[in-house]
Amino acid sequence: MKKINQILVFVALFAFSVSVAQQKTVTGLVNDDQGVPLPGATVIVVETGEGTTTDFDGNYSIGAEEGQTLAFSFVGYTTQEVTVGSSSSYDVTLQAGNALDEVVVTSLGIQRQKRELTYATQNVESEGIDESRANGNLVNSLQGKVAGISITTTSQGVNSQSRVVLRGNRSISGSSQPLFIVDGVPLGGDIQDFSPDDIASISVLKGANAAALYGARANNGAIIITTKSGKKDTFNVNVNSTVTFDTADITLEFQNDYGQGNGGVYSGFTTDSWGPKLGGSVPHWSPNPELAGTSIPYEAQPDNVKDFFNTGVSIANNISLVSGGENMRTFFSYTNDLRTGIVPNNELERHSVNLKIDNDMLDGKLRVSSRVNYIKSITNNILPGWESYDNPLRGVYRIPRSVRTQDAADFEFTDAAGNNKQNYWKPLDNGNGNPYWVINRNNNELVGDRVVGFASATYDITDEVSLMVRSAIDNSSSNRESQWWNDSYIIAQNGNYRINNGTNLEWNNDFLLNYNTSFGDIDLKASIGGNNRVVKAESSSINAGGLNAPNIFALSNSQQLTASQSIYEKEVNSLYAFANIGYKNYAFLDITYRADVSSTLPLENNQYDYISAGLSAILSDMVDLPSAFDYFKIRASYAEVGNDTDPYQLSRAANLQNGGFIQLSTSAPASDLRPEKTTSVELGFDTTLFNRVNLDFTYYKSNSVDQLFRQNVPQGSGVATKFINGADIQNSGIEAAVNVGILTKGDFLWDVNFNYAANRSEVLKLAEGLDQLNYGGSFMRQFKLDVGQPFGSMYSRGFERDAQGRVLMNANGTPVVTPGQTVNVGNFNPDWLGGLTNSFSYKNLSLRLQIDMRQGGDVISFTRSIASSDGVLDITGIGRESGIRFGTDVYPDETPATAAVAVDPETFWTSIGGRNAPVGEAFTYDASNVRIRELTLGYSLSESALASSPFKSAKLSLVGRNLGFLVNESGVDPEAIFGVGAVNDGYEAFSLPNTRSVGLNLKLGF
Amino acid sequence: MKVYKNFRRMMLGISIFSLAAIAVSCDDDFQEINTNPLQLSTEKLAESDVLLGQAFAQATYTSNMGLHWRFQISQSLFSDLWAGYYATTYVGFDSDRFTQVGRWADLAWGSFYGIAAPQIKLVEDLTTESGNSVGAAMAKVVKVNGYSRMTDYWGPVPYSEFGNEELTVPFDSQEAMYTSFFAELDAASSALAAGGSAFGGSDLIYGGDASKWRKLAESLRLRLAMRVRYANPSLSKSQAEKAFSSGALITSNADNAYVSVSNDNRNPLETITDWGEFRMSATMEGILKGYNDPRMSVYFDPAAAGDQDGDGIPYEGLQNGQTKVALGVSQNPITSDVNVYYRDVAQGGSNPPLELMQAAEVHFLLAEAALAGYNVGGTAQQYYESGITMSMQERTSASAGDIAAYIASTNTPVSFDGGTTPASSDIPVAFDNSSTERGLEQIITQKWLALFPNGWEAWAEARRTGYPKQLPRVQSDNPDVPVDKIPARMVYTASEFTTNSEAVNAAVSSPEIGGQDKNNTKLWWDKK
Repeated sequence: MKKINQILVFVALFAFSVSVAQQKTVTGLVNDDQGVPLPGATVIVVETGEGTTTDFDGNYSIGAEEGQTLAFSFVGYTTQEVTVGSSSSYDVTLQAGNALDEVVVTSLGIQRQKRELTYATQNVESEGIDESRANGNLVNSLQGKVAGISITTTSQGVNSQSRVVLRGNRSISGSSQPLFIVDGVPLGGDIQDFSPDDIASISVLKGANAAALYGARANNGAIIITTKSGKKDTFNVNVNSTVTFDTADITLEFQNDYGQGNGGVYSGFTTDSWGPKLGGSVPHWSPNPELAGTSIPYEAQPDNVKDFFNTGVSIANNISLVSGGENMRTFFSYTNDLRTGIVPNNELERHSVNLKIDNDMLDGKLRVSSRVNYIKSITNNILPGWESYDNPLRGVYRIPRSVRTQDAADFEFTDAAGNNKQNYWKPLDNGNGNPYWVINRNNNELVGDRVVGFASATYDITDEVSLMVRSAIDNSSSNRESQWWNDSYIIAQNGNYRINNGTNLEWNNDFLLNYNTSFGDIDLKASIGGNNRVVKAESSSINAGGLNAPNIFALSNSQQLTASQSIYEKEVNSLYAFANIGYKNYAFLDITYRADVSSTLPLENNQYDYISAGLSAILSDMVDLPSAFDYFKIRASYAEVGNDTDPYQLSRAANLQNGGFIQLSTSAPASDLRPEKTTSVELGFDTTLFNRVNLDFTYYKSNSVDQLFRQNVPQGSGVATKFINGADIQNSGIEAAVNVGILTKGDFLWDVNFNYAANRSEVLKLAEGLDQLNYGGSFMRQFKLDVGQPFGSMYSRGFERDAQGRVLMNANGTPVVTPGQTVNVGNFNPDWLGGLTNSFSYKNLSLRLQIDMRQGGDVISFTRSIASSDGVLDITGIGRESGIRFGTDVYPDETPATAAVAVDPETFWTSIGGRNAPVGEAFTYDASNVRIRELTLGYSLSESALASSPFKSAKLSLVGRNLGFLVNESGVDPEAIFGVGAVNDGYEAFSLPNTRSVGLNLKLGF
Repeated sequence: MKVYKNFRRMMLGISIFSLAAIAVSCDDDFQEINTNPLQLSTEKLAESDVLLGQAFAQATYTSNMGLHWRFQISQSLFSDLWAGYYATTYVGFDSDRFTQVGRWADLAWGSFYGIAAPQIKLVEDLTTESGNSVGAAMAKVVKVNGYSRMTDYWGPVPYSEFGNEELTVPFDSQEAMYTSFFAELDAASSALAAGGSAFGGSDLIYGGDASKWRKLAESLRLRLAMRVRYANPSLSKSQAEKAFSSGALITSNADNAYVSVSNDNRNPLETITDWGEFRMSATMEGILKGYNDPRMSVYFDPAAAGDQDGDGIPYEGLQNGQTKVALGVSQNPITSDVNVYYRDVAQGGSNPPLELMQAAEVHFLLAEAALAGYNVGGTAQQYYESGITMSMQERTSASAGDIAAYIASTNTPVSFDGGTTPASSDIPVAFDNSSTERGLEQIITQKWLALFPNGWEAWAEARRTGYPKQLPRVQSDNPDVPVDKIPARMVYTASEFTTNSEAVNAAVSSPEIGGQDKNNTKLWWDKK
């Protein structure tokens, strides 16, 4: 019903839309400065963003209104703009050189020409992000589009969080994720819930160099978003609708020869598939008394995992209004997202309302801007995404191979006493359940409200001096309710009911005084600014641990209420100054300086400062280069960034606990903390060759020193952890982005983009006398930092080996394994990341294919460990009758130290797999993979076709995302994680299968 | 470089000057912002007896491994199984096949050192500082109880250097710890003898009554004295006699030491029983049925599916060490769960207080002392019989006649499965004066019954004395511990090897462990 209402609203808006401006067709010829026609040059109506390209003879034709601006551009040439007047024909001559006049939005929202920049930055192709609408998470739109960006996605279903890392992990205790900056203002969170329809541009500042002015949090780089604004003398209404279908692409392979049971004997009371060979019928597994004594077929159910998943449907509708008059411009947009996931009952409803108003006053001397964006998200049944009791995937992959979908889907029954019970093949099993029960009877709902906004005023005091003041907030609140019905395992009596509430505020107040001037060949831009930043987060939770009356989810129905509360507050004041000095518009010097004072550090140590400096030179403008070089720029920069820490680290406190207990905190205070520091150096060049090849190349090295982190100390010392200063984590690497215009022939264009990045991390130092830091772990693996190793080694149990590396064998044919998690089985850090995009266009038709690559790194799979000991994976079907020999039938790459005798597979797999003591070495895989990330086929209706319609523009696109793996050895999605902390890198545990999306997008302009 | 430094200095100067304006006004604000309003500072704790009492309550409760999952991973999964109280029906609990699952042991270690010990030290330090001698003595008793439990699990553990705030915390030998325990109890007992009270209602055991705490201190001395009987006979004798001659032992059920629980901090046993993972052991079934013991129906419930072995009695045990294949069929309906009294309130449970020490145990300790020839004012048989009486009176509604009949009974344990598996022992209830070893077996077997469900203490005594005799496990996955033995100790935890390797390695190579950090390495007091 709700959905129908929303569609009606959408139709109504559609009907009301009107067309106001008069449009005409403008034609002309584009030449280079030698008078040669330029085929494939881009012509864009700046106000609307609509564009076309010149044909083989350099002719173009485009619809535009009087007063609009046409921008003509071609790789290797200076972009030229023409204002449409009364004429309907404009010929244009483009000047060669000055190729990269690309404008980049940098720190503090300042627009600068890319040629001036002394550090690496990359504009993200934002066209199409409102068509592909990556999983409803804007962050995922960046996947593969930026050299060196690593984006992994949590398996939470619709509305999943993502983890973004640029240039490697660098922080031990903090986040290694970049800072998100919108319209010059840092966010408290990320942009996952932002509407792609509101985004004008995204650029990525990769290193600390780029972001020194944002201070601490930008030492992991920054992702800078500019939202759309209104436009002068315009009134456009745009409608964008997308429908996407998601399907599960299950890469795990199952055996289909043996069913439920143990020891070759059928059992209706086990999660295992070690039963006899399939065939015939067996007593029903169901504990439902009505089914007692009945039989069910004991046959292969090859689709019983696949059957669980739905086709997810996502419908996204946006209507936006771009308007403007002489002194005021308005952008308004409403986006509605309705998504159902591939796991049934996992749903998202999201509304985003965005209004941005720019006002010019006092003859343009005073500019006042404001934006407010309200986002409401309602998510049902977020998946825990790890080995959790209420993760249905934990049950799905483990369904015994003989259990029929129809029986499993009948997930509950009423027992003789009238109680609602779970229909499960192993009632009350530790930590598991019928996945159909889980999705229907372990429910949660998360309601999120977020307001992001700012107000700013800039006043030109003189022609050379201006002052900007700004206040911005990112305020979000979340309310989560969980309801677990009676007879869910490990849940309190009669059900469990929990409420979690949280609020997060990030509030920034800034001023910035700018001074711009020129003396002869020298341009100077100097600024002084200040920032006050307040961060405050509060959360509380109430847990009704057991209910009086079953399945009535009200706090007043609880047997025992447990409450908890937490708070996080800090404030940082900063002053900064920066200067950009340009010489003849071909050599540039940047200097920045910042000093912070943070509430989280000791008073005597709470002020710290840092500096950056950079130099760039356009060699192609300074000296004569071989003719192949149309443009060549070199750049070098150095930056420092200081960092504070979390609040409340300076003294030891005691916590008040439920039931009148008091307990000291388990972490030793550090009263003498020093601020952290990251220093980074980068060198690079940008060049254009033969008018058609653009290449950006960067080398960087960063060291994060004096890091603040918790060291595990002997518990006998009185505390479990000690907060210390130490460590030096180094990341170095190269990044390259290549763009080649392969072919331009008539209306046919073929363009190739390739991103490549290789990062090497190394833990140079931890602390005095400490060469290994345990970061955290699970039954499967421990995540540790080792001095001399890359960031984040995974340790697990492994095979015991002799001096030649051969595996020692037990008498029964199983390998000897280490008793503890002492074997370094690998790390997730890739050797390199790549993204290859091919774009083709022919007349109104465009095709874009993006392939993402990840080479190297390891992933450890808890799913495969448990599914192996359950006997459901295909590999466990080997040797059921004859036994298996280690090193021959399984793990053929291993050599046993003594001849391996045949062992029955159940003994083998239960001894190395399972949950409590798995041999992680046996379930570690190469995380390398190549996947088809995005395939877009677009068709824009020609003007002639639209002539008699109310539309100014119309475009239809077919969009595919994550269409499948071309290479993947792990059998799981190695980039599916369960949390955004570094500790989750390379650890797969009951994650979602790869989700294949195919969608249809319709964009209409009025 | 110099230019850079000068520039830097100049800029910092300017900034500090500017920021100073903000900062000076901010210092107080910043300090306030950086103080968590939801927490207490340690200064505040020191100022308030009420708050310190709450920390003491936490220490008392958690040093007996309170709270469900900590109790499960510390006690249920190890000592409760190895003492032979229960067998597990859950296929994933490898410890019933003698595998010490590392992560559980880590958490068990952390439950004491991370959760209980800091509070014990805090209370002892603050009460000592403020001259609250009764409070300090109570803290010492809780300390001795807590650390004795830890050393009885592992052997040498951190003790005297606990709370040194260093990166290495040495382990004390078990022998040194026991010597220190007796000295600490001396100090506590003499302070408590002066009378008075501390912490009032926050004392979960005796409501702050010093005289009752003295009884706990002396009873604990007696327990520890008997523990060292085979390792240091003269120390054992002198301490046991000292405890007896104090005249302050828990000899009546009215003085029993029970930690009271609340709805928030419940008896841990009742919080884990919902999960349906533990059932009466076959050893327990054979003894209770053989003795026709009135405690059978108090400790356990009939099996849901009724009588299984044809003896007409619906109480059924499960042999320990079941194979994974056997547990592929649910054993729960055909075996006895713990009595509803110990189960979740919602299932009709009563959330009983947590046992620490009862009169029955004291009587059995005195019985053994008498058997060993210590001067404790009675014979082994007298104390044995009064111990049974104490337990029966405490746990059951058996009449004096019933109790007398039980004490005189020559019944012996029976086979749990109708004769297929022989009974665990031929020891009768009626005291057997024919040999001190038979007497010892009787005393410890009855103490084992009386201690239920305190598996922590029962496992220590089973190791020290070898009693009660337990049925063999069906299967052992631990080559060091065959099916007819039980583990002699816990191996050290992985977290200690990671965070405290120097000290734990020193402990492993110390004479008490002798380089053998294994489950079959006997502790210092395990010398019989």
